[in-house]
Amino acid sequence: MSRFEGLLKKNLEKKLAAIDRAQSDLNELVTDLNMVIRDEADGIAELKLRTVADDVDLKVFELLISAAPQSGPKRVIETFSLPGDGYPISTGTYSRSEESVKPRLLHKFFLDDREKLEIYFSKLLSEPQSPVVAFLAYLRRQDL
Amino acid sequence: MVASTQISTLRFAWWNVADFAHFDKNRSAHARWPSSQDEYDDKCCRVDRVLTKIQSTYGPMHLIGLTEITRQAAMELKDRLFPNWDVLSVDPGGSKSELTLAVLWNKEISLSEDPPLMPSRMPAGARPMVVMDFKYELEWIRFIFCHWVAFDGEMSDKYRRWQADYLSSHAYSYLKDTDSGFRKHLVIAGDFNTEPYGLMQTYLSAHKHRKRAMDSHYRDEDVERVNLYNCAWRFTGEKWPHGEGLAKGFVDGAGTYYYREEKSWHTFDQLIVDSTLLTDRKPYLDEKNVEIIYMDEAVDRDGLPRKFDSKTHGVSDHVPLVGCLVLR
Repeated sequence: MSRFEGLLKKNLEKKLAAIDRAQSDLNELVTDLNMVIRDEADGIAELKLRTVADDVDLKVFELLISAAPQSGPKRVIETFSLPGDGYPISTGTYSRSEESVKPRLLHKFFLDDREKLEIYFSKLLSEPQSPVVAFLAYLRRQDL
Repeated sequence: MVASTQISTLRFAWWNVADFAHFDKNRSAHARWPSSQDEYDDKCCRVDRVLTKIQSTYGPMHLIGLTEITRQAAMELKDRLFPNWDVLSVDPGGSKSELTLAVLWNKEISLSEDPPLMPSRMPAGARPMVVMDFKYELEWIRFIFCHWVAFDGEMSDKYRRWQADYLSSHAYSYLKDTDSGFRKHLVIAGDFNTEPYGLMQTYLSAHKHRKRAMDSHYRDEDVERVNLYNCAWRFTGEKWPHGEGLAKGFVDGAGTYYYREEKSWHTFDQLIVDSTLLTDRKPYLDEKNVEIIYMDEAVDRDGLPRKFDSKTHGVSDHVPLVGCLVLR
């Protein structure tokens, strides 16, 4: 029996739990936002997380918005990069070559914990300059 | 929708009309809104004179992008000068009305709006980039009109970098997606609140020489970048050589925006195209007809742009620029 037995397993489990927790926070908040769009904007648009990279120590998701049901043009609202420890989540734009996912621009800002993530998502709904609000306004113009 | 247009050239203009709000008595005390109907009417007359003169000098326009204009002012402008045109404004209107972008176009060309471009975490007052598509035969020309975050210290530079990066990312995905069967082209016009050098090159890959936009680099695909050509580099200095400008009655013309407090010209209004518009295959950019408009109607008595003020002849602190695409 190795004197190191269990250390790696424990470490990996801890890492996976952390990243899973952050990912589940993201999923939950996207679902919450979609509920608000359904209730307060007739569900005309839908947000969705698209997986860009899915590794043990880095997961990258794009938050997309499109008209509901999912059809027509989409816009990327944000790209979230989750490190092995789950938080802080960083944001920025990414490029995807065949080999890897790389940041195009240095991370704009960090979302340190669930609370910061919630503030970020609430601003997507409350600020007039939010890309979600701009997209909803576009959909409204198409109906005129 | 594919238009049935038969026009052979598409002329367009871009202009920051500076604080062109309609009269609203509830906002008449606001510095950027007209204090009276008369003041608004006066501004309308001056804007109309410039746009009328542009058309009589350069030929009828088909598409005009404007910024710092309210929805109502844009609608009224259309009704006065272009009654048969269409207009799109991203101003929410009503009590939330704001000075933002509007696009007016001749119905001879059929334009459709694609969702605007807006990075997240922008400061209050940031404007979306307006995306308008013109399709004819198997050609798809996308116009993107921009008015980026105003200069306000180093923080604002950060926001413009995000805007440039977001636009660059969009340009890449639009041009590289060939599933539609259309040949795609891109025209970006706007007030970027920054000079053509610096972040416009670094983050938008909008270069000063055409060949750079035509040649790809092995890293371009890796970082998902398209190289673009920024026509505005040619506008960064004096328009006329000494002597010629004097003969034309202009002393100075070295940019698109004149900042009176600093007595400085800036080339903040720029026109950027992708490489497909730089060959001899139509459609292409007719660059000899890309011009900054220094005409008496667009400047004050001293020959320099000035914001509208009923006591002066100013109409805007920006002058318009015009461009032309040869379609067939």
